[in-house]
Amino acid sequence: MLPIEFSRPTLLILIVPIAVVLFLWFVRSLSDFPGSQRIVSLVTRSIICLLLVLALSGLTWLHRTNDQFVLFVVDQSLSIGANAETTATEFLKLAAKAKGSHRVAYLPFATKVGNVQEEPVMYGATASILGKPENPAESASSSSASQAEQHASRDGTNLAAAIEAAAGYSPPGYVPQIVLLTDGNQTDGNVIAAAARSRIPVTTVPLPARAEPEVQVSEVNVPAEVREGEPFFVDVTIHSSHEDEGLVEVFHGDHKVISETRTLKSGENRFRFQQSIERDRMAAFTVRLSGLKKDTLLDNNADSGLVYATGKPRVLIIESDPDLIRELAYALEDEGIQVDVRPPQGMPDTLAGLQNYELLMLSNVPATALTQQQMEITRTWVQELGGGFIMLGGEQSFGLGGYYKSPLEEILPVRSDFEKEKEKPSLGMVLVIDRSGSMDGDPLEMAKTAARSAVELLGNRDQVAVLAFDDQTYVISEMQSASNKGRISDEISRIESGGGTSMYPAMEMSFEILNSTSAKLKHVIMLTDGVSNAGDFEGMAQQMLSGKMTVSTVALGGAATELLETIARIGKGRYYLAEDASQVPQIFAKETVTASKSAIDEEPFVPQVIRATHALQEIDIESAPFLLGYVMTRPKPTSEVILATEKGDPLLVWWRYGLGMTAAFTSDAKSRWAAEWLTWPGYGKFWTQVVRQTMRKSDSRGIQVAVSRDGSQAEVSVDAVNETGQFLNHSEVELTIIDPLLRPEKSLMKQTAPGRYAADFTTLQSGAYNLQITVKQGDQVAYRESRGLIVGYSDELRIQPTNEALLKEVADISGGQFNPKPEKIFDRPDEWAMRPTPLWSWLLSIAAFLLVVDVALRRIDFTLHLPRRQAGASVAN
Amino acid sequence: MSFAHPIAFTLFAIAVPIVALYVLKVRLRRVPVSTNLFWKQIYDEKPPRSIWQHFRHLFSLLLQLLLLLLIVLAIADPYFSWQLLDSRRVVVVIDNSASMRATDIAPSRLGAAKVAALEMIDGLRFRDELAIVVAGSTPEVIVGMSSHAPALRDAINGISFSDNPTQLTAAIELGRQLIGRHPHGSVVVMTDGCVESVVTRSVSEGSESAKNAEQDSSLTPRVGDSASRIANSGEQSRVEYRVFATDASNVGITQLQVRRSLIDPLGYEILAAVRNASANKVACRLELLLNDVPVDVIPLTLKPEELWSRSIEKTSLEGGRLQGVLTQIHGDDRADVSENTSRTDSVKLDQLSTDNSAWALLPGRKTQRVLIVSQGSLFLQKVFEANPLVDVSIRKDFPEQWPGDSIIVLHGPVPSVLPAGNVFVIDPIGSCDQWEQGATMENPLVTEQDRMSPLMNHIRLDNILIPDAKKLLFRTPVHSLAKTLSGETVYAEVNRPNGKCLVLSVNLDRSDLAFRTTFPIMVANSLGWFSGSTGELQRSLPVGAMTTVTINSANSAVHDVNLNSPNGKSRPVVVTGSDSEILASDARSSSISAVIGPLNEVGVWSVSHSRKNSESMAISPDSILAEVAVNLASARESDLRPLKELVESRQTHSPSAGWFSRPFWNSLVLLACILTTLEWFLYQRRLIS
Repeated sequence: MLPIEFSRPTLLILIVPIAVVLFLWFVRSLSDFPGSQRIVSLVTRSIICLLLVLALSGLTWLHRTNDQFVLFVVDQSLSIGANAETTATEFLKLAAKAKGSHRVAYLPFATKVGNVQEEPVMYGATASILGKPENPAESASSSSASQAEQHASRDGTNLAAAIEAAAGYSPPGYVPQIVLLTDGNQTDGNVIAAAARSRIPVTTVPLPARAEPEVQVSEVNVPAEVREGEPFFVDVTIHSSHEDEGLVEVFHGDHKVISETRTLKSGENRFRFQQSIERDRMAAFTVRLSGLKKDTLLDNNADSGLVYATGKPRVLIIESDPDLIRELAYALEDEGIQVDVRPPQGMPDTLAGLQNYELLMLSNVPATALTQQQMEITRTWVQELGGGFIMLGGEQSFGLGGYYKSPLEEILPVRSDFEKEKEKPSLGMVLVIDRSGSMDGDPLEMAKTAARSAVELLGNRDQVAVLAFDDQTYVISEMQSASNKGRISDEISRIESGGGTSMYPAMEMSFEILNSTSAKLKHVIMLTDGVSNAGDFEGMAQQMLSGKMTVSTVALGGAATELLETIARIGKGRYYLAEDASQVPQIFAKETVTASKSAIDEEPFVPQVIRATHALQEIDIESAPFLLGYVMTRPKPTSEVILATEKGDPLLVWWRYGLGMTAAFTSDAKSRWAAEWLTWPGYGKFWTQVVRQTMRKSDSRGIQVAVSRDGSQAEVSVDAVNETGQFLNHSEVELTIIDPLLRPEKSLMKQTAPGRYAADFTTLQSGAYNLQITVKQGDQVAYRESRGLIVGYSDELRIQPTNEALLKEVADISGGQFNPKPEKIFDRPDEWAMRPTPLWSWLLSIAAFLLVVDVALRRIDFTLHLPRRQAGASVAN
Repeated sequence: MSFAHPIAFTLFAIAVPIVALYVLKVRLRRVPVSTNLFWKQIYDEKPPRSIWQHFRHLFSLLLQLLLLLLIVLAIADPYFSWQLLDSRRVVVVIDNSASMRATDIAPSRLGAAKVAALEMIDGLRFRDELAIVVAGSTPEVIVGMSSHAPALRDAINGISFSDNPTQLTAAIELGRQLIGRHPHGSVVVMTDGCVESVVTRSVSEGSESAKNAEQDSSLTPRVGDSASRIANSGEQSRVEYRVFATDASNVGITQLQVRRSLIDPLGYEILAAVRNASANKVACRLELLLNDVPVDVIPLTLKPEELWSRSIEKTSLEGGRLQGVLTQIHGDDRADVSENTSRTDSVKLDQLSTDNSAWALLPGRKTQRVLIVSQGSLFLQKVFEANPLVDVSIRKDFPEQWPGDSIIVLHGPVPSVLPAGNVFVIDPIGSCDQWEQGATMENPLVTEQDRMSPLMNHIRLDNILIPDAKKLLFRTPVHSLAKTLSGETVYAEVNRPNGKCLVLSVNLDRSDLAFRTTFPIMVANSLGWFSGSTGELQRSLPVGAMTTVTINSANSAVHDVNLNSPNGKSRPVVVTGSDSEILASDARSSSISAVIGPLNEVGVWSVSHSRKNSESMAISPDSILAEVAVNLASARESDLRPLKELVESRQTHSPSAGWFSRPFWNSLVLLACILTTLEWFLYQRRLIS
């Protein structure tokens, strides 16, 4: 076959009409030249036309070439140390020298692939290579933000992506070759698959591992599951590139449990620490290295492992006065439930902290003692991880605790706002809000929200006024009936910030306003975030007290706390210190409900069974003694009211919330209201059954969960069988994953084999992933299991020796060489490629020259000049 | 206008000889005639030379010079700046997933996509560059950026069918990268739209984040996705979709897995799912064959869109290849189906044949010899005998020579030194080299058991009534499998150098273990543990997967193995080294694990000894070291109907294939062609001289 081809072969068809025209008019020619010359002229013209048509149809000459296109794909990831950079630079230099007539290009990569460039990759300027070379100015003025971005872009090695992209940059017409310079420690992608698919041989050049002094915690190995109290080992592997000495610390959660100085030898160091878990359900063990003499990368000096402990169910009770709830704790412990009692300060503020428990019980803890974050975590824990939650009554619970519109009210089966009873005394309240310049933004918005919810909580016979102050005092809303909720709310919205802080006139005005109202109870709530101009605050507070008014104060951000505290003390109100503006709504709600003295009913009553339930079987509620009081609430529409008071208000209510269950017991479990109950034989049993009903059921019998992680992909697989050992098929297996940023993600696991379900997820974020697996059959939850996965520092920073085996495999599979000398790269004499050379310009040039011949054949009668022909011609004539 | 080769203008020198030839006084031919009388007459009637005759000469010259001008200009290769600015960089992503085999579009979806790609190449403008990427589990660039049409055409013609599931995300990402920040870059995706969701973003949308990326349609639902990475890359290339599909009907096996039962040693369970991805009611038969012998035939009548899924329990001692085949696919409305109509009907209802068969591998069971030494416990004997894989022999006293090939079950008295090999001691009486017998525990309550051990899989001892058990004081630390409330071990794995050993110190005769399923499971677990193979499940993989196989080989030639694809192609398996976790060579058992893949073909893949010297090409069953079943097993891939969103969003930005998109010299040469023909005509007719 001729080594030619046409890029537009269809245009060859032009030959036909041209040939027809040429031949037709050749035959019908009127030319008087002799036939032979006319034939030569025809041939010449035909050749010209042919050349033109060939040029048009893209005649291309294909020829074998040994010219190579070698793309050097250079690893720029963080695991590449200075010595590897030197090796690579040296290699590239030698290769560039040896390249001869061959073409080379360079492609840097790490997590992603950079841009192809003609110049060798300079390591010093790595930053700009993986960044955006289009804007050199931008990357030159690299701010810390862009540096962080560059750090992120180097924090990983995707060899597969590099090979795939390199293939795309190799032009046809050359013998292609990819030369991969890397340490072979990939963190993403599958280089073997990419190499197997690659049509271009991949030559691999292993770069040496980091030679800088480096110590890293390579592995923290803990058993996935242990029994409570069972000793187990925390196996730590530390790799060091040199002899060193450092402090090895082991943390169990936040607590340091081991701190030892150990000598590290060069290479692998293994340490074992015996540990046991006494009271946690899930424990993270973190090993941290410090005080090393020499170390380069610091991010890899700590790593963690996660242990699950199985054992008795555990309940966390938060009580403002822990001593008061001892009876309940003992009663539950008698029934095999472990109880931790803590003051509000001990409320966990991480999901992992809550995961140690099956149930959280709040006994007389006001919302103001909890942070917004803690309440939200609790909600996530109940909703997504199936935790149980019970709120007990008390003068600081439900509405009285300021839970109105809080995340916890959302999960409770009862509402804190209630119909105020007619016989309750009416309340006149003045809200005094600081609108000074410093309140601008969030604080003022929160104060407005707080004021609005306070108004919403008031009954129809109550009256309210709203004052705002800066240097002056403004009446935002006149004293009026709280039934005008809409109007008052609109008026509150109009408060704007500005000016200084002068609180005394406002306090004075509120006194005057209240003095002229007829309400039985009179209350003032003052909110400020600054130091006020001077005034006789104490005198005024005294005056208010004598006018049967109470004053509560809220200090936002901790200014003038002493003064406000004094005012509240003299005014027989309460003083609050809000660290954060987001706490203000809860404070106002609590104050409002407390001040109206309406939410508590302290008349003895006998609980009434509204709804018989399996959970309270064998408990004779009818024989239960009196309870001495309760907090008034309203049940939510879909909740189950189990017990009620004699007046019909809810006493024990529960419902399902997300995966979990929550209950409200509006009376208490201690000596204040339940004094009679403490001696009742059914007390312990009642509470145990309520707790068992509400707490997270961890019935994992029959399912086995395995969690594994490879790079940024984690896989969960669940084996499910029923009691008789048969596979559970076609079950609904739900997986809830809460990532380190607390974002829940729910998915159904797919059945992959009889009795086996699987799902995978990405773990791009480092930190703890909490998993909850529920196996449902029909509508019933058959099994549940919690698991966790901890993702430590990025795999890129796990400094490993060069993975020569992998690189050799890549070279073998794709037909490349492994670790050749630089000059050997171009030594491929048997390889050739077909290179196309378009011929059109040559064809046209020949046509141009032939044109002269063509003209000459018309202008000169060659027969006259050729003697033989001439003779012949004369003879003919 | 600029010129690529201005040097060509020197060729204008050719004009000099041409003009010279015209200026030259042409020597006329002498032709003797008898008289010129009549000519004179004509000469007298009109002037000897008309004006036209004067110009004829000049006009001819001008035509020749014009021709030369055209050719020389063409060689100089003129171009306009807009041609440079408008040049495009296109990456054509061709989906050759299994569903592209469907024949609802003639000749096939892939065929139609290839035709469209070829048209795009014909439409390539001067200075445009195009690359072709085939989407697979990892994208494959078959031609890098090039404007050389024949190479591009050859590459497209060379694309063949695959069994891979649709995985466009990686290919689109690669396409975007190849385009870089080119102002006229676009990724054109030629697909059948059988994807879950798509990446769509055009230049006009700017940095607006991409919609959820198409996910791997097979496998498990993913939580995270790479879409966000694409969205954040900030590149502005446009992704265009061309959909080659109709709402074709298909019936396919979307799942076939087989797993050995945990309780019945011979039993296995098949999980099969068949999807009717059409709006018609379809009837068919699912035939299940184990080693080509039918084990079940299930007639199915599938409602539109129905996903039929069932687990089927069967028993077999042997393992082997289990194949599921869909046959006799026909519309349900016809009761009797004649041979001819059913064929056309079947094609219409089932446009894709790849998913009509699926494979799974059933692990085989080996019989184990068990020697029970017992004073006579019928229950124990029956539990072992009930296990069809067990060849039980019973003795009342210790033999002189312990058999080496049997699992020894000691019930009651124990010898002072436990025999080597696999020993299961149940309710021991007396002490031995491993333990000293303590007091008898009354009503021990099992409260702790090792849930991680395979021996305790699916066993719960805490609800079992145990009236008494022996307390054993072990001489060496043991791995406790079950502990009582008081911390005494009742079931343990004894670590000893000369064989595996299990001890259960529960009095069998008095316990209600006999009435529970726990004990048979315990025995089955222990038999599995003794034999060293748990292998109740060998998952069938989705096509395109990579997997790790463990090659157990008695001979040392494990390094010389081949991977054989279902259609008989072999390639060597590289077992020299790999990722730290993937390759762990264990010298003792001479087992090696190797990564194989991508397994991009449906069927059973095998790993065998390579037969370099063997004459026959066939792989003998003995040489097979490992097998992997690979199925399409993707509900999305079996559903041939394209994603609505894609069909609707279909953009028509096909490159215009006009003449003027070609380089300017093409026009000049074409003009020259016309001119030269015209001039020939004029000259020959003597309209010019």
